[in-house]
Amino acid sequence: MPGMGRSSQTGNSLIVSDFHSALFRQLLVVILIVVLCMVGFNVIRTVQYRRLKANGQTSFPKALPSLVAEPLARRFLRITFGCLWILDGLLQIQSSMPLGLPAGVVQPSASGSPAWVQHLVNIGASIWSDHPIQAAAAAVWIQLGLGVWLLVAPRGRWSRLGGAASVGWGLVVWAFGESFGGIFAPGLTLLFGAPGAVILYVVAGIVLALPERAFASPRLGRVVLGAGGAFLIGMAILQAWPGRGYWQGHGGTLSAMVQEMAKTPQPALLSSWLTSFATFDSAHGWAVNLVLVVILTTIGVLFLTGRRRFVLVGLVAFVVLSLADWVLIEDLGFFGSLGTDPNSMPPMASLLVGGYLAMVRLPATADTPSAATDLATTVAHEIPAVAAPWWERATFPYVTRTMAAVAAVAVVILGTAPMAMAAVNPNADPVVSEALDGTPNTIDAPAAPFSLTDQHGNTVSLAGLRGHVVALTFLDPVCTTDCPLIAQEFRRTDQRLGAQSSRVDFVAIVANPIYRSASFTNAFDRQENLTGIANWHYLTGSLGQLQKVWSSYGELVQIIPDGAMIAHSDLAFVIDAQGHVRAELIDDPGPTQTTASSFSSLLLSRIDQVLGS
Amino acid sequence: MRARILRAVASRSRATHAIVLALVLVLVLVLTLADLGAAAAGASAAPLESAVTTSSGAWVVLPMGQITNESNTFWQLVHAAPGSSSWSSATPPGVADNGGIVAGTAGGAVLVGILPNGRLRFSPLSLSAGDGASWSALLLPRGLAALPDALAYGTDPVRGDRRALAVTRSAQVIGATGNFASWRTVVTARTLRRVSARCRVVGFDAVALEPSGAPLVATGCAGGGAVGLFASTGGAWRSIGPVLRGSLARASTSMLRLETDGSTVTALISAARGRHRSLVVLWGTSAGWSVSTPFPLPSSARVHATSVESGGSTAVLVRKTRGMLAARITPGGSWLRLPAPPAHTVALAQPATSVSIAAAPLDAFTVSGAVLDVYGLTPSGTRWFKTQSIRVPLAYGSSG
Repeated sequence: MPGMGRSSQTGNSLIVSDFHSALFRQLLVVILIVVLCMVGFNVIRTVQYRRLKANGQTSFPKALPSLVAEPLARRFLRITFGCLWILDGLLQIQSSMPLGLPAGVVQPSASGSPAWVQHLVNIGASIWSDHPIQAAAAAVWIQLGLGVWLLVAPRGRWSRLGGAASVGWGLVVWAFGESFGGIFAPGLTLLFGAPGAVILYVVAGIVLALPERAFASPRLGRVVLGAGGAFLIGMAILQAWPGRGYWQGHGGTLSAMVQEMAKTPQPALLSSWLTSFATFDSAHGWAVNLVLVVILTTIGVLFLTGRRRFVLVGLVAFVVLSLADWVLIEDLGFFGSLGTDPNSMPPMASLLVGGYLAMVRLPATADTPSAATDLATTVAHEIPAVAAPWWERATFPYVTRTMAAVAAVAVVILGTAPMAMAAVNPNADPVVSEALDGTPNTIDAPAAPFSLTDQHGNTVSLAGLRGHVVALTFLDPVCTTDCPLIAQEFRRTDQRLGAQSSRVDFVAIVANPIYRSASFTNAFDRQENLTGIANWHYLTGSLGQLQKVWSSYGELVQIIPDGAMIAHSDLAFVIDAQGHVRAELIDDPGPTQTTASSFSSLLLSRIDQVLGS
Repeated sequence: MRARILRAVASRSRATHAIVLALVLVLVLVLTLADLGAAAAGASAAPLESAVTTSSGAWVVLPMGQITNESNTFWQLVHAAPGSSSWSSATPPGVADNGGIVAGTAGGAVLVGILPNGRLRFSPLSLSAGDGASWSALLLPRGLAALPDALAYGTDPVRGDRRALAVTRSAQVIGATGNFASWRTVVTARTLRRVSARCRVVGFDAVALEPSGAPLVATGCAGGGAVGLFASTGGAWRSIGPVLRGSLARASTSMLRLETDGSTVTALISAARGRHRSLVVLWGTSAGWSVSTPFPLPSSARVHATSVESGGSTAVLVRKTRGMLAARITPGGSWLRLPAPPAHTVALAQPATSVSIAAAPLDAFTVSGAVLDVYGLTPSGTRWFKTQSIRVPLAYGSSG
């Protein structure tokens, strides 16, 4: 029925099963990639062995002790953020992600932001909504791939490229998925996740993409900690700013938000912690905020000093604070809504710990001649640094890690390619419409004949359209909601048919027993810019004629009194050139542009089937 | 040394004076602009909540449902037969009217126009020859303006064919006759600006048809106390609106209601000068215009509903910052403040009875969701009492 505001639930079974099928299919591709890499590994090792043997050597080259180990800070950041990407990828597997992410995460996060941010975010949300399966599956594989990539490639170009890839994907997620972490929205606070978790992944990615010589001095660590300190002082100022609701206890911003979080489904223990904190903040809001402001300012100042002892004290304090915030306010990040990451505190704490390690644990050791050695030049530090052919240099760990990195990159590409294709395809996938309206009925029965008058006053009958495929629907010319959208989807389908359009007629029959004259069909056509379309026929007739057609096609039309529009079924039929109904579709355009445009894809696929049969 | 100090002080003083002068000029400019804005805003929008009473019955247009949510607001046409004070819903079926409806009456018939809403951008019309029990569908190929008298209906006394006038959302007056298959432009604002330089026409406010079938067009006037009312004779337009005198001599005006019946024209005017606004009723006969005393409106008040009776009796419902007030005036009389109307009153109407105008009853309509309660004034006119309750089956969600 028009305008009944139907929408797909995020747990829609069709979408969920398609999502799982897509993930399973892509998993098979991943397994294939892994197998191919293993084969590749064996081929390389076989060729290497034969070359070595031909040159009189009987064993593979052995790995030499590393001159300089991977800097501890770098290893810490690489492994931590690799694990975080994998965790995020696993969270993307949630069943409600395809339909739930745009409406449940992306758009709400942009709701308080300026119009340009909302516009930008809506572009991303539209792409996701139009292609929910492709997008959700792509996000899984991109994030899992990035995580594995960072974990398996410890040194050299492969590893730095992994950091750069983290930066690229992180920026996409931060802009389109997190609305820039809400930095342009009012109410910004560190406590709820500012400046967004993923921008911290981006910062970590930048650090990992730097040449290893950047870790040779404490400067990098100082820069990271100094930036963190300045950021924390800025956040303290915002926290202290009057009028933002943080000094207020009962009914204040913090307690209200935490209370809301506590209401979401989660283990009772966590919920009780949140409720307790919200109650405490309600009673002592002013004191809580004062403590927070003081702590944040102090930690920020300690970081800015750049002195080892002060920084350590600040770091310990920040780790404790971030843990408390993560548990009592951020609700571990996964709870509270459709969780896509563990929120900002774990990555922020990790980043600052990494910064501290970069400051205090320099890679240069006593037996290393120069701390300023460009460690990047020792890409294959297991390889003897002599100009020998590759088979004399490639060690087992080097080949293994290289092949693993190649596999990880392939997995990232496996996600990126369909995502890119989805981004450039303006037509929503048919599955969205099927999720809303059900899968079309495939039938093969003679279509009920009709002979009515079109918008030009000409008689049009089904028999007269024999030889053409007919897409038939029922439209109310004075409808205020669905019918104009359905008409536009018919028009879009006609355009997408291209040259095949000449073999198809689009027919609408009036579905209003009162406003049914040709003047109304003409007015509707003018309103919807349908007047110039040669194969568009909007038919009407006497009430008796219309009722007969409605009845034979199962179209229910009901007058609803007192200011409501006519209620009628949203039905569409695809009739083949021989006059047989081949498919029956529900064409309720749904609540969004996505659900509406998806119907066009579905109708097009059914018309293509009939044209091809 | 002293001279230098004095020069410095004088120089500083001149600079201070210049700054103060500039600030004063800016302040004057801002206040002037604000005043001009208020004057322009004086052409206040006429509320759709309206009633018209003729010898053949009374019709009320009012919103029901969830009034703060347009897609769940369902406008109703409520009817009382001549001689009856019992009201019933007579909303034409077949189209969603969430954007509002307007009605034009003549000789017992009523023509209802549906305002564009949702994705509907033209205006279906419904014509009922009697009490709204049966309707025939007609088409206005453009969108009606959201004005209570945007639609006028009548019959040609000589040829007997029906005719209609409409103000469109694109600020045009168009008309049609017969089966309304062809609508043509009747007059443009540019034409009327040439007719009356004093009025400084700012847009169409209402249309009506004289008993002769000739069109009457009302416009807002940007100042000069002129009332924008224009009549056409043989295709030539002339200004027939009077000029307000006294305190309203330089006011801008807009017409909230325009009704004709027999030889009488009743017009409800909103006149604004600066931040002061007043309501004035004009009664026109062949003898000329009589003008009511102004009814000053509180500064934050806005007219919420209007009711005009063919004899010229006019009632208004005014919403203030706190509460509402109702007032009524009869031709030749003065404004009478009525008891505070019941809470949630959305419209007032005067049932068509045979009682003399001065003692004619007045009903107030309150809405709570799908329930419409009717309150009448006691004969003494001192309090309201409930006379009727109507439950209207609203299809919530049907236009969402």
